[in-house]
Amino acid sequence: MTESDEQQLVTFLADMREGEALALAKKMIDGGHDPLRVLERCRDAMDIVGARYEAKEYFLPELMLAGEMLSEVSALAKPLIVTGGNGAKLSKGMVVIGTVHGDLHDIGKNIVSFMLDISGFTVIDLGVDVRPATFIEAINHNNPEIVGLSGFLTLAFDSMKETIDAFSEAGIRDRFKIMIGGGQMDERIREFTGADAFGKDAIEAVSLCNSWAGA
Amino acid sequence: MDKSPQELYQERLKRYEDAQAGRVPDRIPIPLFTVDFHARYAGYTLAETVYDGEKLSHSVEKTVLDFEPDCFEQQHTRNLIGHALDLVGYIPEKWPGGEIGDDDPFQYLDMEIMKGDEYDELINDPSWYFMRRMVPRTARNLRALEKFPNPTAFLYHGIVYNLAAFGTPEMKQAMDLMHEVGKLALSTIEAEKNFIRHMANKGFPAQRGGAMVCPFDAIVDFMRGAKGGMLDVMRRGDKLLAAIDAVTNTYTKYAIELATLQPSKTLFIPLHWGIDSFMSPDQFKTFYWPQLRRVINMTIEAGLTPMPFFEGDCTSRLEIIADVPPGKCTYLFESTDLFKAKKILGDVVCIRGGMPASLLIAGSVTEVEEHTRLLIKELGRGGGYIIDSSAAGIPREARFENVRAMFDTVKRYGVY
Repeated sequence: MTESDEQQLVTFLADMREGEALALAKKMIDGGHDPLRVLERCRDAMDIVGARYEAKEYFLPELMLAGEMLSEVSALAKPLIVTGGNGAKLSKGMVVIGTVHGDLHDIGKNIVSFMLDISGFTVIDLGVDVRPATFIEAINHNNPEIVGLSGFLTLAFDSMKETIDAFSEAGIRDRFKIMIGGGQMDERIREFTGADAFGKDAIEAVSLCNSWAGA
Repeated sequence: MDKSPQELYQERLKRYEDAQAGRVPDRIPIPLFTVDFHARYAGYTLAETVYDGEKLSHSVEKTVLDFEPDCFEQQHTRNLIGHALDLVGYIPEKWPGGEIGDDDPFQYLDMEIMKGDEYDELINDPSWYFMRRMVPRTARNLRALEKFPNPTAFLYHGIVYNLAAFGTPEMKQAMDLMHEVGKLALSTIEAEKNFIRHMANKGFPAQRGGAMVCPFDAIVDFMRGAKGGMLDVMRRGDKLLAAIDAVTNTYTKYAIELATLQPSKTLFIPLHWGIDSFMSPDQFKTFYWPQLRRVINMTIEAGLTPMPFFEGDCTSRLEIIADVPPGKCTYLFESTDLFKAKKILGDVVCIRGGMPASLLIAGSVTEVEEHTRLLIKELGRGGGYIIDSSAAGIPREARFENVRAMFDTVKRYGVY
């Protein structure tokens, strides 16, 4: 019975059946179902959502709803978890990400953060208008394998270059891979900024991180 | 024998309009579409051109006279609004010299202004919703308008007691402020008219009349925000559709009416949310395209040329967006595959764009020349093509010599 409840929850979440998913999650938790297992099934459902997004069956509306359902179920389950883990799988690696100095746009970066998160990476999101010194501080503190620089405006080209130059000056450039992202990015701008790779959307970001993490 | 400015004006306008109508002009037209390149080119900070009308006019005139485009983007109503935005205390945007650096560009902040449970209020009475919800929430110094009475109550003796809302000191302050901002707006509009006339006398037509956003983007960009809007597609699609209709019947209709009063007959319609990676083909066909096509048709019926700007990559939409009356629209593209667009849309719309921002910013003169010649050869074939930079015009960071190379190459090799 509980086994099928768990399967049903994965299906409801993956198929965007929000009302049914929440009702079932509540019923399971109220009925004494292990909240950790409920969160693990959420992760399974997010894997399916991520795969459907990559397959271009799902788009931003589905991703946003998946994120909402995940927080709603987490809010039900997390208060009941007394000790131990948080339902997360072993992390594939750490990514420090932010929109570069001068640019206040965050829609694209947030989607990349969300996709990396549900793909098994630990994401430290520094927000928008992030100065090189702030990146360096976060990098020194967290020691990430990957740094993601996001930008929507063309001014971000210069900011990305300045940020990566600052990494070199601080002597940390070789400690991680750098990806730049945003609709305007191309190979010419990758070369201009000195990044290791560029991506135009969240799918490319996940695929880059997977390749660097050897996943 | 040199041509007079009037002859050059007519020649340039004809070149632009021939291409827009899908005909073969004497040469591929090249507009000077800028948002802020002119400021840097003329040696000003962005803040200077946002707060000082003379510097703005000088920067645009200098750039136009130096590059001699076939038409240019007027800038006053787009840029010369720093003082007015300061006065109203506009919340969802940052502008150069106001809270951000003097050389940081205008940036709209994604935020939820309309709440998810307010759709019925918007749908039932869009104008009143805007007056007492949108304006007070977006303009810090116009909060008093949340008490604005419903004008439909101004009947019979209602004309008296429903004006009570205007009797408070808060409302007087707001009305006084609107008067101040209104005076600034009037002078900006007047300055733009004079500037367009001035440049016409020098031989250069303006590239567009009005500008407006499409109904889906009006709601998602400016009211619900990215998260709210995307969730609405999933959770309350029927309400979103009804709201799009309501906004089309009010805002869009009005914007088109205003645009018909402008000298240039091109209406600029920047598009954000319809791109390939944002929504599915089915979502595009449900929430975006039918309503956009309606706007396009309304624009054409008003005697204007719609110029939607398809931001991002819309390559997968090409077959769908081909469904418009032939020879009536200009489609400006950002990163859509234009060679594919030429094949699919070439007989239907004028295609505009093609020069990547990255090339103008980080490429060499030779690379720009080569790419311009490729665009001329592939996209110019058979007319109906306007060359332009792909990032809402020429980016501010473009190398001057690269912009020069694009203009020179078109004028030399773009002749039919």
